Amino acid sequence: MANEVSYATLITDGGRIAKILAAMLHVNLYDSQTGLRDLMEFRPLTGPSSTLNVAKVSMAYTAAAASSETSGGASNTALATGNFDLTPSRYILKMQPTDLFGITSRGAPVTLETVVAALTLCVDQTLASLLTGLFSGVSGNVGTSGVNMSANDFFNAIYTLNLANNPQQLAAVLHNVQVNDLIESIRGEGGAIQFREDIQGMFKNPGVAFRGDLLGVKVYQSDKVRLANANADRQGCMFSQGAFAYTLGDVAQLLSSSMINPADIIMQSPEMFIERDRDAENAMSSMILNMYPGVAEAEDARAVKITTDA
Amino acid sequence: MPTVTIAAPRAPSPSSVEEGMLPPGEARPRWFYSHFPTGWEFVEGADGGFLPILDEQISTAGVNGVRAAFDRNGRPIGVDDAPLRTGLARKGAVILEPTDHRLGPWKNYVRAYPCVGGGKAWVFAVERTPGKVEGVTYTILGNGAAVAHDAAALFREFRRWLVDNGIIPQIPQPVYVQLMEVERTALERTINAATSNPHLAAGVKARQDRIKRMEKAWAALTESLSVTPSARLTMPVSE
Repeated sequence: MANEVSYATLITDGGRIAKILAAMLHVNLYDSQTGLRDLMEFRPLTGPSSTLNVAKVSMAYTAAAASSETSGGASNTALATGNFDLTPSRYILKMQPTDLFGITSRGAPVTLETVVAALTLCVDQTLASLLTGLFSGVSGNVGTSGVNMSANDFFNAIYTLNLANNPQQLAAVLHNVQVNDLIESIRGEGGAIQFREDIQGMFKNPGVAFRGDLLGVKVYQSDKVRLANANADRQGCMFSQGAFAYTLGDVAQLLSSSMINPADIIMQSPEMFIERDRDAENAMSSMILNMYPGVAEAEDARAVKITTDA
Repeated sequence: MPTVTIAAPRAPSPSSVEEGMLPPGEARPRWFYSHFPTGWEFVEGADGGFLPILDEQISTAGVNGVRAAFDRNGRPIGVDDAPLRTGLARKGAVILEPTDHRLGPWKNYVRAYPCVGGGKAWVFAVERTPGKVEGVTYTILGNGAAVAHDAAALFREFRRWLVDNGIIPQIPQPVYVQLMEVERTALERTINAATSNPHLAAGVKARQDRIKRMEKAWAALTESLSVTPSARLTMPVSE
């Protein structure tokens, strides 16, 4: 026998979990159901600095006629660039099953694998939470404090992004309350728009996370969208690709540098690792997930926040 | 051995929520307010008018350049949010430092409720009268769930105070024009929708009335200031 999944292998035999189970758990790192990391631009953490400074050109130029009253001839034009900082920080999640749990959970729905699975699922959930933390830093705003979200707000967000020359593909991350209010509002829409398939599609109940494609905007729902205005409102956001960026510190180099006892590593990937810490005196085995994410607003003109009643 | 009378037994705390503490899920990171020059809205009601939009900028490590700060033993002692503030300033935002004495009675507008497990929930709350804290409150239900009560009226008062006391300049005229444009567009959409959905007719009237109130509020504002509240460039002259 080899690679069997048992409490013995999980707890007392070096802590490593079976390869097949690890493969399944690695899938958890990328949560296609409620994860929002795809909405951000990934920037690998490079260089010796603790902060990744990214410069980007965000403007197109037109040439001036060589001889006209609008130009003084060939004068230099500075290349305007924007930049943002990605500073990864340590994020942890710790769970501490007891030995009694290991003994009594045999055959129960909640097992040690469940605990490890919960830890791995947190990676995308954390990134989603960090993404919503960026919305308040966006300068553009639509919606009115204390007033339910409406189709008008949705249109206004599209118009705002259009005025800033945003590309076609847009996404909106809204709180559950905002999504409900939006659906309620589009129920009253009239004219040609009421016959659109995507409008009809919003009346379905697809559940959490991705709610549908509305007027060319991919609408996501997340209860991580934060409160605003003294808890009176929720602050969602509509944006195009490139508005927000993220990085995840590569922990593989940390593990290869022998700073951590390999026998204590329960699971590892370049994005995170789960380490075991045994407290024999109290018969508890802590499982600690470590990850180093960083998120930032990359370009303000690519986003508009949507602040409406909570 | 002498007889000793021990103290009266204490009432037990509810098992799910410790007394005076919020559930761990309510924890929210520390934040401060900022205001972008284009961030304005028209709020209905006697205490409304054109009010500045204030954004809660969270100081969380890993977000917008904020980094965790540690003591010499590696213990976390807070965050360094200077990069966040720099980024906001670059975008022309006014930062309302909670400890700024110019905020007068609104100083220290962000306060924390303790949460079970050691976290904190930072909310909008002020102590304008010594010993009396107003702001976001919570009710803990019998099942341990926390229900938050917003402080919208107090928050409107705060925003009005910021403008009246010069912490935030009055709404610029171009922003007013933009807000009116948004309202007129919404009115047109509502009129169009009402042609096929007669029940929306009331919405048309409501939007028309709102536009009138906005125009009235703007007129009153410009009259009280005697000048248009915005910086204007002078017209170009021919050479």
